[in-house]
Amino acid sequence: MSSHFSSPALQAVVDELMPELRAKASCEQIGLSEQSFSEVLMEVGGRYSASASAGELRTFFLSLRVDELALARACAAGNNSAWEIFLTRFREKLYLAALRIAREDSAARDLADTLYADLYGTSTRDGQRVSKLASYTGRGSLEGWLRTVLAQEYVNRYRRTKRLVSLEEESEEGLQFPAPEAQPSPIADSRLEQATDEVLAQLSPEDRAVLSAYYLDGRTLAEIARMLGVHESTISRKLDKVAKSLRKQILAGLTRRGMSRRQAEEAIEVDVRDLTVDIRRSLAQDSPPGAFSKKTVEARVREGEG
Amino acid sequence: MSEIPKIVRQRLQQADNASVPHPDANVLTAFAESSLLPPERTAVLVHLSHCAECREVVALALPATESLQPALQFSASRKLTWPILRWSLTSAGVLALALFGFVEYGHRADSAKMAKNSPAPAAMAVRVEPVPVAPARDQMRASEERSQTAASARGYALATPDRNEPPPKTELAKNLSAPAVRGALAHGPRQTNQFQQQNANTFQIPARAQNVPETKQPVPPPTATRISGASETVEVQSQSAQLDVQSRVTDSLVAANNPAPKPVLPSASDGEVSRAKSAPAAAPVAPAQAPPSALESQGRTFQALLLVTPTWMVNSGRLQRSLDQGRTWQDVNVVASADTAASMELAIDSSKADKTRKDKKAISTGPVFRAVAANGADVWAGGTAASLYHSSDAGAHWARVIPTSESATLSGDILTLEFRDPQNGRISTSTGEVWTTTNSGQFWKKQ
Repeated sequence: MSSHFSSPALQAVVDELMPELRAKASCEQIGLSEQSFSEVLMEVGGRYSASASAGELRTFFLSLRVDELALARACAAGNNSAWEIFLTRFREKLYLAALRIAREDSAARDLADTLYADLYGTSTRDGQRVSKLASYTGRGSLEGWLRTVLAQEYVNRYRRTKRLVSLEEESEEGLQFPAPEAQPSPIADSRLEQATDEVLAQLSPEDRAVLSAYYLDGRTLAEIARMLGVHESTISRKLDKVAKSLRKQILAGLTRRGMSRRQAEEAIEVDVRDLTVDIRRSLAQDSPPGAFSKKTVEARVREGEG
Repeated sequence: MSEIPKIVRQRLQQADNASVPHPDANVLTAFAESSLLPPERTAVLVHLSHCAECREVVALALPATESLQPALQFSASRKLTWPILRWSLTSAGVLALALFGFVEYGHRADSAKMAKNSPAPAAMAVRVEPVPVAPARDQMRASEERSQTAASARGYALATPDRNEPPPKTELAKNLSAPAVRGALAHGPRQTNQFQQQNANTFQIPARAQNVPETKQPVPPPTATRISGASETVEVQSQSAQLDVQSRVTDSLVAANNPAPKPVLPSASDGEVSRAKSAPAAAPVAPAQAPPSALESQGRTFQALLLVTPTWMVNSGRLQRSLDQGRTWQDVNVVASADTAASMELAIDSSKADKTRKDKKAISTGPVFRAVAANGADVWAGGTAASLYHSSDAGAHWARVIPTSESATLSGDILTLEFRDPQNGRISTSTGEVWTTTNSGQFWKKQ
């Protein structure tokens, strides 16, 4: 609502497409007047881009889910028949989506109820009910938007509770004090970090997103594939390729920074945390349980021989 | 998947705390639905590559996949065990037998010449010869379409040509010799039983069946001479067929010879009516237990085909499956379908069936079933305490389904289950609730 662009180009496109979009949105059925529908379109268009050409705007408006947009906005405006349609269409799906996200019944109901409250607009501003549905712009499906909003709410809550718990847990594990950068071999470390950062910066956004989702978030190949709308095998091939080339490029970057091939290989295998925490631990236990990968151990043996 | 160096993981993580504003829910939704324009999509990807939070939101907001996921996840741990081996064994068997049938066809063409030389069967051959082959072929095609699994369809495709070719007319004549026909008709009563069980009102079987024995006595001379070498069974057979159009003789014979696995959806096509009619007539002469071995290769092919689409019933609270058109029934333990290896054995070796059935009974502590509905491999079973189970692979794996709508959950005992196709189903319960689905049970609606 905040961005009310009144660019004449936008107004012209909205006026031009109005009959078509109105028919698509079946505004009469949900009691949305032409005036308010036009306002909604102006707002959505203004939010999209203030500097888009008329052609781009036309494509944009035609790609919108105007029917669901109109429904959501009619609900936000407090129209009863619109609410009826909304509830019959989405109530059940919303609970199911919440259940899928929270994976537990009471948490799911709680999550869905919170969203319902937001959708109805219990919070008031200037004596006016503000519904979350007023922020739906029709860019994706309404159902997908509801799921996304649920997921956002869930992630926010999860983060909050996790933050509360994790402080204690982490200090118990000693992770509260991660390896300060200036520890055993600061020069080698910074070179390794530089080389790694350099290579990571060269990755395409998609490759990097896939890499993070797989190795950091622990998503499955199938999940990543669905997130990006591609086939699972594409993701698997991409990951394989990226992981291999990463290694090669980091090694190359390290040798460029003056390391020998062997030093570089050794450096890349050593976890920074191994150097600080695990060495201490393994010294205390006198048997290093996998603190180093095989390759490192081999490298060390070779080093000792030579 | 190849591992990445730990340093990469660490640096990724360190850079993974985007403080920039997150994309709006609308944009994330459009991203997940692949409806963003390329520049916008790239912008979102850039954000996602640095923001674990938004990655998680997108992942969590993915639409639901098939409801069978838990069952499938379970089976992933035992790849290439019975579920897969069973089907590949079955289809390999079907293929091998179809090939055998092809070889046999050569034999038969030879023996057909011999049959023409001997007088009595030759008379029959003359009688049957003018019959147009086309209807028979249509009949076969129709039954092909109705047979549910690809494997059985393939079996037919390979097996039918040699029966529809002109020489098989004499093959039919050959089959009219007494033992063969007895064996062929032995399938009749069983099928009729199933028709009556599942859809008794479709045909007027009893009325017709009464007529047949009456007409049996005054056998017209031509018919008598025609099958002079054959038993009473054949007389009744040809007599009842005579009431219909001539061509139905072949239809009913082919149909009787061809116990297509379609007990679930009986259709009122002519061929089947005449088959149903001929069945009770044959019953007194050829008891159901008559060994079908007379049919040699054909018989075995059919048995192989029958394995593919099981028949289901609920017997005193237990869910039972038959893989041989109702000759033997095995309990299916839906709840402990985790025990797949055991249940798969049922399918392969019927000699082990008794043993495993005992085992099953020992295990079975599941709900008391009241109703079952099957469409090919898609099976639903329901019973006491709102227990509803679904299998999409002919009972190898089961998943519990709990129909819920916005305000209610299915309660009471499930009394009836109807699935007129895999998508559309209806449940009624002891508490008077009626639930329907139009999307294979993904969403349910209370009425």
